[in-house]
Amino acid sequence: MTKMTLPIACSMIAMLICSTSFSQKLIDKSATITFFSEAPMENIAATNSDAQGVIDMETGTVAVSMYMSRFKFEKSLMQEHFNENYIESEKFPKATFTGNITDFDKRQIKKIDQDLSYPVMGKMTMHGVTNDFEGEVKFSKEGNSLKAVTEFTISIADYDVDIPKMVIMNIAEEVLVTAIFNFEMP
Amino acid sequence: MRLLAILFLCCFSMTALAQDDLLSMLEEELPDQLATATFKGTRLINGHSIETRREGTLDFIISHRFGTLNSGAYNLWGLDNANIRFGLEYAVTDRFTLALGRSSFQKVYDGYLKFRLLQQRKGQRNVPVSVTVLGTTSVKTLKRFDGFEPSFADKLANTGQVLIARKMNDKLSLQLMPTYVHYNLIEANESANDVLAVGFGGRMKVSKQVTINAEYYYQVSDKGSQYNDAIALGVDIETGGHVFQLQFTNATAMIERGFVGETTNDFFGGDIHFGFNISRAFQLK
Repeated sequence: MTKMTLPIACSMIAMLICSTSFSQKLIDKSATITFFSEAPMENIAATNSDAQGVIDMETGTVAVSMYMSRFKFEKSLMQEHFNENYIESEKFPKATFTGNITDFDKRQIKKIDQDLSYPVMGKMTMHGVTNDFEGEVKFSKEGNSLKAVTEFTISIADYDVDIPKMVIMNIAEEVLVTAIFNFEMP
Repeated sequence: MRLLAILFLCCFSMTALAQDDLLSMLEEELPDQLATATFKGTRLINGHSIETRREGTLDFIISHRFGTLNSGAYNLWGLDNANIRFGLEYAVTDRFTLALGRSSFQKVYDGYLKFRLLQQRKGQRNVPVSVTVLGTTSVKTLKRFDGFEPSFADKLANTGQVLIARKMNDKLSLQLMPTYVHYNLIEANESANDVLAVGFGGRMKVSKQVTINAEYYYQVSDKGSQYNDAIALGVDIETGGHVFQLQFTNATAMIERGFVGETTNDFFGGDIHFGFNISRAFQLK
C-alpha cells in the first residue's frame, strides 16, 4: 500500500507544480479600447476604459472581454443610439475575443527591451456574431509593466449591425479599433 | 501503467480547458442596466415624456399645429393656418432641465423645470419604473377686447405633473401622467380654477428609427363642460441628432395649460390638427 501511495503523492506534487506554471497569467482589468470612424457628416469616437484582458504566459493564449455599454461618447445622443439602435447592448452586453499569439515566447517577453510584434489569431464576438480575427499585437516595456497594443479595422456589416439609409451619411462602414493593455510584470 | 494514463489524461484536459478558463477569469458582474431611450423625444406627443437630455445638451424644439382637417379644401385641410411654438431647453445636469418657450396660439410665454427622480433599472438594484416630475408656468399675453385689464398674476397658469413610465421591452414603453393645472383667472362661462387630469400614453417601435405613439389626457375634473379631453396619435422618426414627431390631435395648444384643460375640439367630430415637433440637440458641453 505504501509502495503505491508514494508514486501517487509524487505525481500529485508534479501536477501541482505543473498547474502553477500553467497559471502564470497576466491580467489587466482596466484596459482601454477606443474606436474611431470617419463619415461624411461626422466623426465618431468612443472609449471604454473598463475592458479586461489576460495573457497566458506559457501558451500565448489571450482573452479580452468588455461591456459595450461602457463606451463613452462625446455626444450623449450618439451614446444612446449606439447602445439602443446599433450594438443593442441590452441584448448583447459583451464583446469578447479569444485567441493565440503565434510563436509567443515567454523568455523574449520577460527580457523585453525593444518593441516586439507578434501575429495574433482568434475569434471575436460582438453583437451576437462571431468572426475569425487576424491581427498583430505589439509589446513594449513601460516602466515595470508590459504594454500590449493592437490596432485593427472591422467592418460593421460583418457583425450584423445595420445602418438605416437615413443616417448613412453619419456612420462609417469601417471602424478603426485600438486596444491598449498594461500588464503588471510579476 | 494505469497511473501514467491518468496523468496523461489530466494534463491533456488541462490544456484543453486553458482557453475557456482564460475568458472565465474575466467574468465580472454585469453592471446594472439602466433603461435608456424609453421614448425617443422629450415629448410623447403634446405632453412631456420622462426623458431628459444629458448634461450640456441644448435642445431646440419647433412645434407646429395646423388648422383642423375638417376645415376643408378651401383651407387646404388646415394647412393654411398654423400655430407655432419654439422652445429652448437646456439640460443643466443629466436629471435637470430648464426651458423657455413661446407659442403663437394665445401669445403664451412658458417656462418649465423638469427633474428626473428615478430611472428604471435592473441588476443589483431593481427599479421598475422611471419617474420624472415637471413644473410649468405660462403667461398668456393675448389682448382682450372686452375692456377687462388682467393683472400679470391673472395671466398665469401653472402645471404640476408626475410622469411615470416603464419600458416594457425594447419595443413597447408605457407612461402614466397624473396632472394638475391651476388657472389664476377663469372666464364667466367656466366653473373651476383647477383641472385634474390623468394622462395615458405609450410608444411602439416599428423599426429602429420609427415609433408609433398614442396619448390621451382624461380630465377627472374640468374647468368647464365645453372642454374635451386631448387625444393624439403620432409617429416619431429619429435621424441622428434630430427627432421628427408627426401627429394628429384635437388639441390646438402645445403646452399643458392649453391641451390638458382647454381643448375645445372634438376628435371624433373631425376637428383634428395635423402637426409636428422637430427637435435638434446641440451638445454645448
